[in-house]
Amino acid sequence: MYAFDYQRPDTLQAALAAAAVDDGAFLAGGMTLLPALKMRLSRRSSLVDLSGVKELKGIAVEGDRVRIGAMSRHVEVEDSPLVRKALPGLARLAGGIGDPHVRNRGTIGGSLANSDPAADYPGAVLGLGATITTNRRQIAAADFFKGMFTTALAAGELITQVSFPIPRRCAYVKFRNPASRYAMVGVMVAQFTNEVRVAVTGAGAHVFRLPDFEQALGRAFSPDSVLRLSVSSEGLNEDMHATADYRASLISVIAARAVAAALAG
Amino acid sequence: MSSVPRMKGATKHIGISRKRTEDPLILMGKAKYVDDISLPGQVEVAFLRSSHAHADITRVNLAKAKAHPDCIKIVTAAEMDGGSVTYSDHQGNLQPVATPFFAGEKVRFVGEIIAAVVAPTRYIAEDIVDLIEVEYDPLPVIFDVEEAMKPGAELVHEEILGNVFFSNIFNKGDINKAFREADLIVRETINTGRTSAAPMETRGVIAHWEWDDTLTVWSSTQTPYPLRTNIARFLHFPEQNIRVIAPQVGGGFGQKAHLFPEEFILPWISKDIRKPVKWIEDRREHMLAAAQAKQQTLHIELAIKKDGTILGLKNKAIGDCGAYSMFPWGGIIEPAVGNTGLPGAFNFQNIQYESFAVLTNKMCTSAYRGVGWSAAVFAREMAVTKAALLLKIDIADIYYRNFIKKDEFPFLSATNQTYDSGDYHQVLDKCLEMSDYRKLKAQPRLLKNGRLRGIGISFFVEPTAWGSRVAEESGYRGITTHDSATVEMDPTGTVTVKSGQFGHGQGTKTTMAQVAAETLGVRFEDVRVLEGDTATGSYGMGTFASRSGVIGGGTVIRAATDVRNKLLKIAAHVMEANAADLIIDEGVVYVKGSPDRHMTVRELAHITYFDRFRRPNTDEVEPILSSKRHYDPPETYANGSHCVVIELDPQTGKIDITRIVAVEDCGVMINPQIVEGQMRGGIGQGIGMALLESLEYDKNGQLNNASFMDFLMPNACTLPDIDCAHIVTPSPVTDGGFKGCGEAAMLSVHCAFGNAVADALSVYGVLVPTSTPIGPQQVMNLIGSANEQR
Repeated sequence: MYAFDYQRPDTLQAALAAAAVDDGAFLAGGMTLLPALKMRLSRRSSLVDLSGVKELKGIAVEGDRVRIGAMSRHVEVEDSPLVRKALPGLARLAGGIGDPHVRNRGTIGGSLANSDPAADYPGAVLGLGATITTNRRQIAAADFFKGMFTTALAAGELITQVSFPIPRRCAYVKFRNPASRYAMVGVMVAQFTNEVRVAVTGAGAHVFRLPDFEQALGRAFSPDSVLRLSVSSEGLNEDMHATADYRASLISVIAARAVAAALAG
Repeated sequence: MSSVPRMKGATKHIGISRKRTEDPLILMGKAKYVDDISLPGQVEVAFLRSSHAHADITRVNLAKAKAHPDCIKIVTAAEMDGGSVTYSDHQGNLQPVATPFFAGEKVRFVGEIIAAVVAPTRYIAEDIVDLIEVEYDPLPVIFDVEEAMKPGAELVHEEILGNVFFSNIFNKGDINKAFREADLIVRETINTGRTSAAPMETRGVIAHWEWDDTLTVWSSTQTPYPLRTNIARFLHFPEQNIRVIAPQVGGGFGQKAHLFPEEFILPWISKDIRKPVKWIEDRREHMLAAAQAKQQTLHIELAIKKDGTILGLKNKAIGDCGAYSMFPWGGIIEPAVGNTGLPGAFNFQNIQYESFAVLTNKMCTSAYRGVGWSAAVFAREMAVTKAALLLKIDIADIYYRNFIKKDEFPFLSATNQTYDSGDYHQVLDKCLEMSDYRKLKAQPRLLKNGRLRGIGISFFVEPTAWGSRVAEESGYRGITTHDSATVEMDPTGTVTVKSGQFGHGQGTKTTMAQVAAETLGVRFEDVRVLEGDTATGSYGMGTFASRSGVIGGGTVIRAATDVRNKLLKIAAHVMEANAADLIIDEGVVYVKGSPDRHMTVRELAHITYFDRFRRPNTDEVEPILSSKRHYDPPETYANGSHCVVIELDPQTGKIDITRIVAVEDCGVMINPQIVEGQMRGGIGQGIGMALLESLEYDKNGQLNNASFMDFLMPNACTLPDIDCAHIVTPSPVTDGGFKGCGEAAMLSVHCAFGNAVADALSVYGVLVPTSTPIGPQQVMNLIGSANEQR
């Protein structure tokens, strides 16, 4: 790790101002940024710790939506009575991220801004059709994820909250990379009154939807509807842990299990 | 005493599950590891390591680094005079491949040391490392052993033709006849994955040269005395002035039974700059530059009769040994040593094997729990598993049919190892009974939850007590290895044992005290064991290779017997009795038949040291209650069996472990609870090899998973409850009847997993794993290959 300046402002305005320097970075949970700094893979002149910024906190249910402040820790989403009641599939997703240490530090805003291809939250954001609010605008889930570790966020733009519509039912199931515990394939299945959405994380450069799975589930919301569907391995991730073909074969299996989990409540 | 569990046949101290005297310090967080030691005026070292797997170094520019205001010293190959450590013993056609302290004109693996930077702190030292400019001229990378052996392949070392630095061929019996007469021949190519012992504590060294020309070295090593001797040899430093201390060591598993370049560089620097220097390895360095293990390609062939009688085995073992032959074991530890373990528990005499130790542009492979045997027995067991499935005979019945019988010991194995004793049938009976093996095997594989249950069994014979003879039988013809211990009774009757062993998890401070208490007839609480410090121990090779119980135990028995005899002689004089009529029990000396005539050991020790009026004439009996003895034991072989039950998800390939049973016969147990600790720990690491671990080098020789984010180790959650049981067949040849027990599971349990996977997948056909680790993807590939067969 190289030396850097550290600030912990109380307000959004102060945080934005503080980060507006060369090589400045926002520090949310630090689950990715700090290891990168420690390993000297990244170097920053200034870190702006967001943990004191009031505007980024809080969880609320408003009508048919759940609103989650960007600095909400995974454990807060997991344990929130509001989320557990309104969107239990999201609480369970949060409770399955990493390990207790990660869940006590990591945040939803940090996870989304980082857009790790194997992260869990992108599955929920795209699978539920969430809206991401920044200090400048609102971004639809479909427009947010641009590539591996790449999002629609501009320099100096900061996620402030995420707003999830509440489906009839949903569930997220992942097949963990045995080493890192990240999703090798993770699938969010959400049934709304007017549509079914299926989003896959871990398998590609970034989270993506499966229209034919959605149509099949729209006709009959049952595991068998997707178990027999196959997915092309073209463009899927291939690494030392899994080939693209293996990942493709996992998608149908995990999607079916997510449907079963959604039906089981 | 009454609260301490005893085993059947236990004596007062041996065979009792004493709580480990090591544990209070460790459990209270007060144990001192190398990194807990800081010396006044200490400076720190960071290494510049090669980022290329194979390249000529065309230029190293130190100018900017040296200009850093905090740079104390930079050392390169030029400074340390091209020094190296070389493995060599009287070993056939072994060509020594020296491990240089620093890469000079060429680098041969990613992580090889190019320069050492000394600065006030590690942080600053790393900053300075970043300022060193190295120009590389990349060379083709040798990645695959079979490619490396082809004519015209790039050479890792110019002088080692074909990249093979050791090969041998062994023939016994009539292998051609065995294969002619076989009803079935199974041929498989097996690839075992590259692993790392990855102990919780990485390596670390502190060296402190002082003005009286003494050198103290703290190192996280398993072998303090050999380190002392070799610092003297390779750095030309007077050995009597060197003190090596292995403080608390957080795991070694064979990996720290090597002498690494860093352990020579730090002492050299300390003497050069006349300051104490410290280096603590970080995890990434550890993954790149601490010894790796287990990677072999094995071409195995099994000749077997219809009734399951094994006629013979052929094997060609090719070890992927990395870029150098690591001191002192060398790369032959994988292929050549592995081959010697091929016969296992089986009674057949026709064998042919070849071993090839091959250089590649990777970190060296060398000792790690189970050494080359892990790979060799996996190849054999997968061949036997396949034969069992093809012949439709349960593999347990193949075991029974081929086992050496208990009345056939001593037994000369097909590879000329002399097995001393055992009762393999009884051990397997016990393992099958505890695991409900027959009942589970009779049930359908497909469970209600959609998963496939697999039941796997394995059996091992483990060469233990690494003295000169078992070393020779395992493929090290020239190695002389033996140990010593000193037992001293103090003036107050307490006992100090100075041992050549060095426990770093094995609990030797406890077990050696049990042996001393038993032999002397004193209380366990009155014995203290000193080890791990060459200033206070007794010369020995250290703790590795399942040797400490047998060798350490033997040295202590011998030395304690001397002290006991001496004490009895003095007691006979003082008590006016016949020495032959005296008994020592828990610190009290009695006259047989007259229990009221007694004296305490404490009284007698006091008289010996301080009462010239009562003790015997010192011209006849010197007033010293001390003895130092040596032991180089005969070969002794432990055995045991594992049964594992798994549930395999045929949709994802995921394996859940539901049950593990382990039965082991390691002869007389000094402390059964410590034996079970070894059994459980070995099983944990065996699961790593079987299902999880693989260091993944790419074709450019870059290690792609040099962190625990990508390198998968077993952890507490991986392990189910393990049921342990013991069969005790005392060794007829070793002092105390002990056999070793450390490596056992890594000669066996991974095979049980391979066997269990084949059993679970038997619903699809004959599908036997041919590589480790057997991860989810490998399982799905096996299932896919069944579909192709149709």
